[in-house]
Amino acid sequence: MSTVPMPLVAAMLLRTVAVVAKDPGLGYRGEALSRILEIGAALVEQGDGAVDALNALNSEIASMVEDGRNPGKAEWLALKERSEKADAVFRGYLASGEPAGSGTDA
Amino acid sequence: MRMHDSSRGVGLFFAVMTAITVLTVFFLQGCAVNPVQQAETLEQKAYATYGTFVIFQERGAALVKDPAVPESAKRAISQAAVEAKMVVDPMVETAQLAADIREAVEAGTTDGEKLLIVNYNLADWLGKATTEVNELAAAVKEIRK
Repeated sequence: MSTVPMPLVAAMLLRTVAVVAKDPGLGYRGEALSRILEIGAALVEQGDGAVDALNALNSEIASMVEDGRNPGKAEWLALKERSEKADAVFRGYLASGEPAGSGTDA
Repeated sequence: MRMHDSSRGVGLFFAVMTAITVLTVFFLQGCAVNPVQQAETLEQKAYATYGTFVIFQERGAALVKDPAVPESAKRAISQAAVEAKMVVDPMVETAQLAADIREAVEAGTTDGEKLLIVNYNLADWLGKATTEVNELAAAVKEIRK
């Protein structure tokens, strides 16, 4: 099940409704509703980037279960490399107050 | 006046529909994401736990690089991630040892007792790592609020 586009669709819908709610006919309630919807849209847009990554991991595990196999050395190694790269950012920050590798993806 | 009532009705209708849509999005996301629960073998569960840990490590690292995030939050997330790694790494080493012994058992070059022992250790590390990963995930989600 793919959930990738749904937060964006929800955010667009929220922004659209926020504009509708600004109708002067709705008075202060409309203004308040519009403000709430704008905040909601921003939160949904920001979303939790972990969701897509977790969905990908979920698919990977589902494939392993379906094939009746355990993770191989190359798969462990790929995760380890990502882990070490992120760890360097934390250690750099704790050591100097500046994340190591600033300006590059973790 | 009739138009005014109509406009209000349309606005409220869209507001209700939006609330339903947003709730559905979060409900579906909550249902879709659970790699550890889906895994069947101990090695798959360890891999799913490690994968989940790495994902939150990467999200945490992105927050540490974000100038908008307060320094106190950056320090908290960095410490949580470094501490979690100290427990997660031994789980990974044990899982890889378990894989080696399982392959040896399958090849008939060692007995099953070693596999039993290493799987017992792996289950122990898995329990500890799960606690650490959950704490890191909670710390990352707290900052993203």
